[in-house]
Amino acid sequence: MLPQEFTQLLNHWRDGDKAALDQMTPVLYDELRRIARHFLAAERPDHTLQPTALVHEAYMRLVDQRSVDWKNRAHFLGVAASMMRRILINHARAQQAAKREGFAHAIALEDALGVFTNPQVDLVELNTALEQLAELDPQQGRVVELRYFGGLTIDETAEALGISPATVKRDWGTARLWLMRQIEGPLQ
Amino acid sequence: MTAERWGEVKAVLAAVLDSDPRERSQTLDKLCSADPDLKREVESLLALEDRAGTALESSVAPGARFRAQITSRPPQSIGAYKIVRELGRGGMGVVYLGERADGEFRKQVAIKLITAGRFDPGLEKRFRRERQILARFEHPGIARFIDGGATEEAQPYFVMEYVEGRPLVEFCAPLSIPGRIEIFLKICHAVAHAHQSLIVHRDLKPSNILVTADGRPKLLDFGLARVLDSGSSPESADEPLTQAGVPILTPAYASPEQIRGEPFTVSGDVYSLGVILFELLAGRRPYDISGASLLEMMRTVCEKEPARLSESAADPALGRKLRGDLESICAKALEKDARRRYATVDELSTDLRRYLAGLPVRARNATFAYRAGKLLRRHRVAIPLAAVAAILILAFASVALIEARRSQRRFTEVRSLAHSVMFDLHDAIEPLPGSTQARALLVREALDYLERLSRESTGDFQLSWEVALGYRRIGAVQGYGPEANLGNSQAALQSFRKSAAIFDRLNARQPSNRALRHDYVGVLSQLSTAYSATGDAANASRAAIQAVALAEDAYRARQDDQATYDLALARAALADLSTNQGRYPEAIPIREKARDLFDQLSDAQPHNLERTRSAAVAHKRLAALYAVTERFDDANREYHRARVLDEARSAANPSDMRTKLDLSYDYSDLGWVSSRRNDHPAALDWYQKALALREQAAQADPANQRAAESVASSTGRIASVYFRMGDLDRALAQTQKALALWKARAARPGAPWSISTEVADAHRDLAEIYAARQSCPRASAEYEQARSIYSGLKDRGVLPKAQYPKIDDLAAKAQACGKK
Repeated sequence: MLPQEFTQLLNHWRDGDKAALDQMTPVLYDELRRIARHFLAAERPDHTLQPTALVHEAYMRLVDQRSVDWKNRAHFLGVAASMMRRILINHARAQQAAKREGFAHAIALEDALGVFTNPQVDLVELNTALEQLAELDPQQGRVVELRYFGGLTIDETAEALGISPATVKRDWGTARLWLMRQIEGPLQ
Repeated sequence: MTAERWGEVKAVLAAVLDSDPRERSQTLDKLCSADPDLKREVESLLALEDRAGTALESSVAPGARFRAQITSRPPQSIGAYKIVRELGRGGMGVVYLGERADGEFRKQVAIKLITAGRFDPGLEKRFRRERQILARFEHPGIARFIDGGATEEAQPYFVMEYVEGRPLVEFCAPLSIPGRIEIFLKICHAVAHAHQSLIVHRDLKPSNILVTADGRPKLLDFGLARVLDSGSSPESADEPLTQAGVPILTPAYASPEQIRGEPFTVSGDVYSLGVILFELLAGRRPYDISGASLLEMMRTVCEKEPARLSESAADPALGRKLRGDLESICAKALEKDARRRYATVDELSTDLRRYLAGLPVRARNATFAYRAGKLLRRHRVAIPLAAVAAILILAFASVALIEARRSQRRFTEVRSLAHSVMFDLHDAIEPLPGSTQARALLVREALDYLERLSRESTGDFQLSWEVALGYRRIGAVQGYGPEANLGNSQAALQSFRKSAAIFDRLNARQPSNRALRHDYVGVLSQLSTAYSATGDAANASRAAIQAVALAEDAYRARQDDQATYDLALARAALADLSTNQGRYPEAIPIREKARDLFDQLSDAQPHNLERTRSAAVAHKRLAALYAVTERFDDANREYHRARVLDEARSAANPSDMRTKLDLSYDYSDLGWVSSRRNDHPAALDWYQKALALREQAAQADPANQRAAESVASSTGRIASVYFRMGDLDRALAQTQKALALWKARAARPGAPWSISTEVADAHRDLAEIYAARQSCPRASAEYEQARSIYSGLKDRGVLPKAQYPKIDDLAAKAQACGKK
């Protein structure tokens, strides 16, 4: 996929075309996988050997930097958050399946994606809980997605969603407790 | 829960979270006064506050981690420089355009921020040291180093002259061949200038070279490697490796010696320039390593012949132009052996200028010799200090193996290389500290492809022989007797058995082949020892007796050096077997005969250290037999003769850990004899001398089981002396230490059963100390522990009969003490 095409999809998605995200995800996923392989084994031969700090290239390579509206960084990061969520959940599910079927080694290559994961909660469970929250309160679900999977700050989240920072703070603070109770049950 | 209800809960929850912690319950009561269910709901959520705070903390969430990687917002400033914009990114970090408002004029600089790698505490210091050298260093072809330091986040940065230019390859693309060479010569001039100031680049590559609009190339990052690489900094030599700086290495442009981790010299820059020249002329690099794994890249660079320049050109017309002189020049710059390369950058430049002037170039002359010598050099495998080099050679051989199918000549060539790798290289690295694992890998890999060869030509006598020797070698590394080994007796036994089975077939085909019989005898002896180590006494005896019979045949036929040695070894092995089974008086005469043969061999070649060692061992083994049969004067005499031999060996080769360990055994055994003669101070002295040497050896190679076991053994010995001297406190402390060490050894998978007797003996020693302190319950418990280990070994059928009485003895002691 050409950077221009990717950027176009990005714009479609912003304009409300949900299918655009489906088209972008596998491309980005492949790119991350490719980079994951670099993390584990090979390094580009013309690069000074440092198997870190390569991840940003996934986006840089995919996105036509001249045409993306970089002023709206929050928007871009919002897209990244959605994709990141999908990728991590897919990854976590694949890992669980592989463990069940006893070929954990088969996915070792992709374990480099683990650099982004947080071992403190089960991502698949968190995702289910987040889907439930989004049904109760779509905006709050989006806040969590941006904060948790996108790494957006309070202000950036507010900017991306067009709401006040105080609302983001309130949504984030209460959502965390609700999600925790969904995942782990009420504390006895 | 409905959306509406969640809205209510959320509102109350947010209000409570927002309120002063001391007033929370009041706020909650007030807001929920009419709805106790609501209050319960909010309380149950509040209870999870701490848990949610850590588990769903935004800063450790995947998003934050991910953003830390992709964040592209440049810092406002770095050091004294204001950041204008980002110039580019690479594997190591980001380059920014910076500005310094200095009085009236503004100076633009390039700032390279190193985001890769770890925090390196020695960096600042090295900067201070290097800054002056680099700042003084000026050349129009080199981007000037201005400053450097570390940010508040401890990321190192370098401030360099800002160069407005285009990347080298891009700039050269439209130029003619002479035009490209002219540009390249300017690069050479700059590098040569740096070399005169004793500064090497270490990371020369096209992306580090920009060409200005008027055709002047500028080299970036000169001196950076020197600062970043803490490996060359003496004051950091004792810092752990994890704190080392950023390694500077670009596989596509690094020389073989750089990849092997050898010291960097100007020759490495010559090589990198060779790759750049090749790329500028042919449009591609001499090796295609894109997409390869790191190890594959390393193999390729170190072992594969580079592509020919003319054959690498994109189109045939260009290829024809590059054939001849330019091809030879590139080949000479790209020589794997640094000594065969252009010695200096100036020599490379001179040849290129001669080419431009139409004069004959020097590289052509070398090429013929190079080609003629290429085959020869393949066989002369150099001795590497790093095991990785050995693996790389193996990798090369594997590649050659694929080609081997094509012709018998190549087949022979590869086989001899395999042989030299497996044997010469193994022997070369064996005495190096830390080499045990590397040797196992080396031998296993070599064996693997010998077997592949073997499958390709079944029935080949010589080849089967080599495979048999390969199994023998791997058996020794897996776990054979006193050599440094991996401590896996079962695996070793299997390897020796495979080896012996092959020899048996070969010996039947050629019964008068002395060389073959020699190898066969050796394997049988090792096989016997391996059987013993796994507790199979019957098979051990069978193998040992067979070995002696074969060796006596050969000795009778011709009493040469080899036959003498074989017989000595075979007898020694047989004697050891009787010894291990507790039949000491039976073993002594066999051992005495073996000692005489070993002395004979050592006297014939007094400077052969291996023979000296064998003689020393022979004396020691005999001494031990004398000692256990209480002939202490005889024992003392033999031990001192061994000590003298080993001290001579150690003096001849002070870094050899094996010799140190050998000597430690002499000291230890002398200590034992002193102890038995009731000379406790002397005993303590010998034991402590032994322990010091052993700890040194164990530290030098943590994978060496023999060293680790000997440390445990020494500790126990020291304890026993204290006990005999009546110093019960010290005896107790040392015995407990020894027990812990032995337990750790016994817990290892594949540990021989004899280690368990050491654990049992340590328990018994503890019991005796407690008994001496009148602490009967404790003594009784320790005796019982020892007894149960011995009886377990008896049940497994591995304990020699001679030791059976120990079990009843320990039981009696446990009981006797219990009654008191």
